[in-house]
Amino acid sequence: MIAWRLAGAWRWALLGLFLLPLVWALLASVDIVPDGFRRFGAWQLDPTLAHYQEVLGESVGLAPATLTGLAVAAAATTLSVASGFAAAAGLRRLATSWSRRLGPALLLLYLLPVIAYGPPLADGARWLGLYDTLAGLVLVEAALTLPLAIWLLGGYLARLPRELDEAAALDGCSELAALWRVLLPAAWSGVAATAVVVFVLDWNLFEVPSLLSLTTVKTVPLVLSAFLTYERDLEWQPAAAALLVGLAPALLAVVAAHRALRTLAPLGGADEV
Amino acid sequence: MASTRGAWLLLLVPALLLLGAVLVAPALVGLGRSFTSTGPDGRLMFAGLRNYQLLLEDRDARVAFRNGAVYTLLAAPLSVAVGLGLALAIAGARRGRHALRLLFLTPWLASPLAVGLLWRFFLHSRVGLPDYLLGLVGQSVQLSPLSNPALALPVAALVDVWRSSPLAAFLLVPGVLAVPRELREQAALDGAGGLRALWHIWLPWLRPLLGVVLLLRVADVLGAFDTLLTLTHGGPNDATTTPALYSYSHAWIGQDWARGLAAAWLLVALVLLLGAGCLWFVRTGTERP
Repeated sequence: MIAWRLAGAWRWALLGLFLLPLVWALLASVDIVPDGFRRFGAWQLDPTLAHYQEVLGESVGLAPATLTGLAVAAAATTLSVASGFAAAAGLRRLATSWSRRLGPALLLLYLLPVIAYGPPLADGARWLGLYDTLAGLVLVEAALTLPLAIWLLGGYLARLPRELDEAAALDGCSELAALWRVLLPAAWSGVAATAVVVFVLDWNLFEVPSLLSLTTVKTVPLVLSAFLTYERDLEWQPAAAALLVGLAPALLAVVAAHRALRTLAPLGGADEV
Repeated sequence: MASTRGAWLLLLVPALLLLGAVLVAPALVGLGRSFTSTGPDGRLMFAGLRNYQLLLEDRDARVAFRNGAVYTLLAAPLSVAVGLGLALAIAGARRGRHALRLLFLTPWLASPLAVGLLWRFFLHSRVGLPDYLLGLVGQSVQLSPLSNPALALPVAALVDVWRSSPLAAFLLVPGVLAVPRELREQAALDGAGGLRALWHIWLPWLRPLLGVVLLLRVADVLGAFDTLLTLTHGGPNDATTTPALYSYSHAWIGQDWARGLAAAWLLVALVLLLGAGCLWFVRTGTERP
């Protein structure tokens, strides 16, 4: 019994080793760091939450950035998943040779490097008065993750039996009603799993928000990039606290939707992990 | 019937509008701008391939594309390989498989920018772990490998492997589990011939999935920007300046839009070329043994 348990324990040891840099950051964020003089590997053991207070406080401004980031990522995710689900359902029903190719072709859009379209996008946002606004950032972030959302949702919808659509049609459902009352409930775990992935991606976006906003709309990665400045170069503890604050919402989203993520299997494979 | 088709087509409209306005139109304008230059009177002029020619003559650009090639060739295959290894380890667990799959994903949940920041300090000579361990065995203070021009690029690639192999593993686990149980057990029993199991069982079975994961990775790595910005800021000197960083500094900091966009679209051409290669890899492997 013990041997059987030990046989599987190496995986958890590997996980611990893999997450070591994050553990190191967690320790530093509460001010547990090696002593500067490093006599026999001495440690500075005087845990404090002061660094979290500092980065969430006004001088660094992580608290308002977290709120802004959550609002933008949540709105963008909703828009992206909603329009993505409609599109994936439409592509599924059309089922023509071109509609089957459109999904993978859209994925190519997702792979474009930001700098290939970033400058004209920022110009366009200025022209439309959407530069440095919440609405502008939400629209852009929703579009950036949309190809991925369509691809992931398309994978889920492809697993649903065709009879489902026929039953909906027999019941006299209109297309929109069928979408809402039949397809959406049937693919619910897929929608939740896709939403989590899209949320994490949106929450972590840096390059596009940095091109599209100046002062008003600041998300967490934009604040994190402020740790680059020379004066802060050696302030590891506040940086560690800040990056862990930035990780927390993504981690919570994954934990909250862990049941749905069990079913995330693009391109098929086992239905559940 | 025609009206039904129309209704389903209508469902595509919101998505196509968003993609058209945010990605397609700016991308086409960007592509167009890469063939123009600004005249002395401040007006745009058609310049043909001049920006691309200037780019190829620019030593900094050549260094950036060389760095990008090295970085991609190291990070993309390695992250998929490590991801496959992790996926096999996770899929082989009898208990807690789902928990392992999600916990291993943690590095990918941090923003790429935060990962750069994390590793910059983790490898730092005063606050980092490797240096602490070296101090324990009596070694003197070492400089971070990131400040060594010869080591910075491979180390940055390894940081990317740490960040993205969890995603590869996450996507590959269901594929591994879809391989018939007898084959998986046979592969596990083939302890001595692990490489043979890889070649005869895992690679043929997972080929389509591996191809798509590799495609996602190649595009991500070629456009690498966020992590490198905080990890090394392209330095030391230009040892880790990738095409994306080069393009960014020309377009945004140097206000040389045309050259920045030309570099960006040269990068797009590479993404498409390598992407087509990945898809070809998938195509040729669809028939299973």
